[in-house]
Amino acid sequence: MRLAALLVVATLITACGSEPALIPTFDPSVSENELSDVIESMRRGDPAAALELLDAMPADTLPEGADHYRALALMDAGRNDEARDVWEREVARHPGNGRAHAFLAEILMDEGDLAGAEEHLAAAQRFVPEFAGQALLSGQLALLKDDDVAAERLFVDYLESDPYGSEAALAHESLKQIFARRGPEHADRATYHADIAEYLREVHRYRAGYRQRLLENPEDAEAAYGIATTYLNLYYRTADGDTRLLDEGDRALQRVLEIDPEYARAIANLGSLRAQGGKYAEARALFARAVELEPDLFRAQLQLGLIDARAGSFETARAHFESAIACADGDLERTEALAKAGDELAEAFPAEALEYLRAYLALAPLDPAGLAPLAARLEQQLGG
Amino acid sequence: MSRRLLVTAAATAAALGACSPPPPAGATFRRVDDIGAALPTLRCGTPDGQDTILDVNGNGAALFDADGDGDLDLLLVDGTTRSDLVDGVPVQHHLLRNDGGLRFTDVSDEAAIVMGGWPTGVGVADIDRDGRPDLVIGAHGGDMLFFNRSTENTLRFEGEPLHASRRTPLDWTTSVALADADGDGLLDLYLVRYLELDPADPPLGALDDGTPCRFHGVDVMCGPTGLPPQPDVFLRGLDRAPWFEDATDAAGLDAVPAAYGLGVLFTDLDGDRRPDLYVANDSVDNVVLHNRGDGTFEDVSSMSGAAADMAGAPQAGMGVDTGDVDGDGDLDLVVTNFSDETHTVYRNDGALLFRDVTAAAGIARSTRPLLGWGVLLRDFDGDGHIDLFVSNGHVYAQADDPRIGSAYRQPQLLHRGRGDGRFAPSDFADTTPYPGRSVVCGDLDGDGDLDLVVLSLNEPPRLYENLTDDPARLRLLTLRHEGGEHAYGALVVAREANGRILARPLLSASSFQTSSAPAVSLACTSDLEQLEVHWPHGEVDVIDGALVRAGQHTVLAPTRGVVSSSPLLRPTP
Repeated sequence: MRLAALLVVATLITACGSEPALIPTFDPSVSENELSDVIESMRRGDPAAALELLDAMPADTLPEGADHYRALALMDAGRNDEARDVWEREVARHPGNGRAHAFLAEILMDEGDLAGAEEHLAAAQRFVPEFAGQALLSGQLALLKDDDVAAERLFVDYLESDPYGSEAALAHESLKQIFARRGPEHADRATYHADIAEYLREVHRYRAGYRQRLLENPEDAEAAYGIATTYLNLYYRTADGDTRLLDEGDRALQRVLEIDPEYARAIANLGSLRAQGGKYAEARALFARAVELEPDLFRAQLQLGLIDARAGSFETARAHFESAIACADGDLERTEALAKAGDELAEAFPAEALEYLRAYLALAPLDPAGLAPLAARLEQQLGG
Repeated sequence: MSRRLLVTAAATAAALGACSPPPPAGATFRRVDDIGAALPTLRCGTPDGQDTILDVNGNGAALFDADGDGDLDLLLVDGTTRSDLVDGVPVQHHLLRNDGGLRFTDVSDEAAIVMGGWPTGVGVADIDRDGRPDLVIGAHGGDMLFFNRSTENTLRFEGEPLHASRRTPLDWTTSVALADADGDGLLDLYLVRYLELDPADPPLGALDDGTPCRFHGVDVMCGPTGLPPQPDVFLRGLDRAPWFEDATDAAGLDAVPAAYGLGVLFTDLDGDRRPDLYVANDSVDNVVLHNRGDGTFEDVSSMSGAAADMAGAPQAGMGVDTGDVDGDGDLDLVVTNFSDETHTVYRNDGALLFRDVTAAAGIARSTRPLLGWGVLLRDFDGDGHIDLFVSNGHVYAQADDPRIGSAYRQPQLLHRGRGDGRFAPSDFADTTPYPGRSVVCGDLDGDGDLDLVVLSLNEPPRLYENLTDDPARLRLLTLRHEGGEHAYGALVVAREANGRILARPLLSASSFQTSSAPAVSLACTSDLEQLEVHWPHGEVDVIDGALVRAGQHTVLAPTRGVVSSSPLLRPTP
């Protein structure tokens, strides 16, 4: 319907012989500079202010992408009826605006116009195949059309391009339902997607809370640190080695230090990231700075012990292990510190190492670190 | 599945059972202002001081035959105010006796249904098995049983605290539902609980930790998020006083997380003739509990697809009802939710798996600005398709603020079912918005179609007469066990000559804090060939359709089939 009409117009303008009509792709971000205040208002979560700014602009000065952002603001304000009209105007003016087609499809789906939504999603796929949102919407449309097979493919595609974003939980949730419908033999996969969806929702809930705090107080270092930890926790929880999360975490930690250069836990976490990247000298300096600011940082003390031990500085390593043991908060941390101290210092300080290992085995008789043979060897060595 | 073919068709039966042609699409309702008695404004907080969540949920109602004269009387559950609750001022409920012809007499004083606390939802059942319908009334501050002690000349109830449900002085029951969960022939009771709030010291403007209560940047009352949710309560029925005992833990329900419960269904959702439970929870996942048949339930919420919306996000569930929206013979669900959310349609895909089909059903856009409470899935226009009625009204007095993007007074929503899972908007009698809350339905005037009573916050209830008035097409069915009690949780599956299947449940509770008439309404557009009755924990009786005649009120019982039949359109006294 709407799209068909647009294609006819485009054909009249651009058709040449039997060649298919060439509709130029339109990217509304070309107007970002002229609409920076509008976009900033939307980022702040204030679509009403964005709309006021747009309304205040003289019509003849409105940039090409104005309607795109107006429609987005209307959707953010929950005014979908008006947004639909603006999207329709936008795709009539810029038939190559793939994102506009995708958002219009979202509204049409909401209205139950599945055929209309499908047309516009096809256009979105044509003009912005890289836009993950259209894959997500196509998956939802497939679900509404009871096509679980297509929906599964689309959601998996979506997760390849955006595995941890705020919409990824939706894709996992949908996959959970798809596998649940396939019967008990698919229960494990349904449970897997349910767990990831729940975890992602939790992460994004925390992140949204911290972001709100930062909006209210841009100097809130604790909130900035909270955002950073959501990336790092997601990396360690999902454990699939996606270093994009570490890069995001790194940037977020740097932001904390811009607010408060003496935020010890952020410094220690940056140290962990550097150690993970093999930059031990830089990592050591960061850990040292962290414990200088906050001596009771267990993880930083432990890491300093490990770095020093592996560099052959056993005396300082021992001091850091002792500090880690002293500031361990609970048996789990204490066990970990004792095991690492015993393991790393076995050759340089066998008597002290044996003490560490005995204490470790007393706390963890099941020997999760597999250090009982080392302890036995040291017993024999020292006893002999 | 075990089936009993009860009666063979008589030769002339088809002619007797023939249905009239399809009616014009869409039910027409007329608001009836003069019903003889005054429809009282029910108390629920003070109109100008609704600053806590206690003040905004509204009241309960039931349609049942209190005096045994064969028609539906109207019980309106009154509420109170926080100060009266703290002071222990008793609450008297309103009972309006049906005199026929949509005329009522207020018999509240005679009935003496009086209790403490802040009463909320109501259930109706013959608890003491004396042949008269009794009441369970939930409350903040202590649930009550009311035994019907009426005689031929008097209408009277006797109240007794429901001790088995007592947990703390701050218990807050919202909806209640009854069904025989374990097959022992006794009705069990499910009490939905909301949250913990001390009426003497409620959070005003901010939570205890100082977090301000805001919605879309507007200061609003607090809750439910941030207040402690309360776990629901399951009571097993007993055959003697005290009539119920706490079986929450024994039924495995202690493992279900506490939640902000508001609406409930207690009916068979997976076709095994064991009543399952569905609880609509505010702001957190809804709960689907599979009845294992041995007195215990399994929480299958997470994988059911009916715990949250399509995106897996929990919604603010308020009311819930079930009906066969797409005409495939099983029971689908509709849950009402908050503004900015949709009222959500879950299609039943079997084995307690549901699919959010709200957008495909065509109600996503129309319901997104609305905050829904009572909901009914019934065939209001008698075309054989399930229609949808939702009572809407916002909880925030500030809802008209543009930042909230909704309205305090909202339109009531009537959507005509198309029979294929989709709904189409339909005009409702009252176009004036008001703060709607609960809704009950039943045939108040004896013409076979379903009339409505819609409650609203701090305004009198509204009674709407259904003008479908086509007794040649309509049937009313009462399903009773041998002892006479209603077979809550039973399912009627009618097969028409045109191939259409009509599945209709008998529910003790649906919507929100209400109990609609305990009868099944059936309208067909071709000859009714066969009727199956799926009795809870029992067999499936197959009855020749010709014996369940149009224009009749038919009473059915297990193994006996048709027990009695009487014409609709009783003469007005």
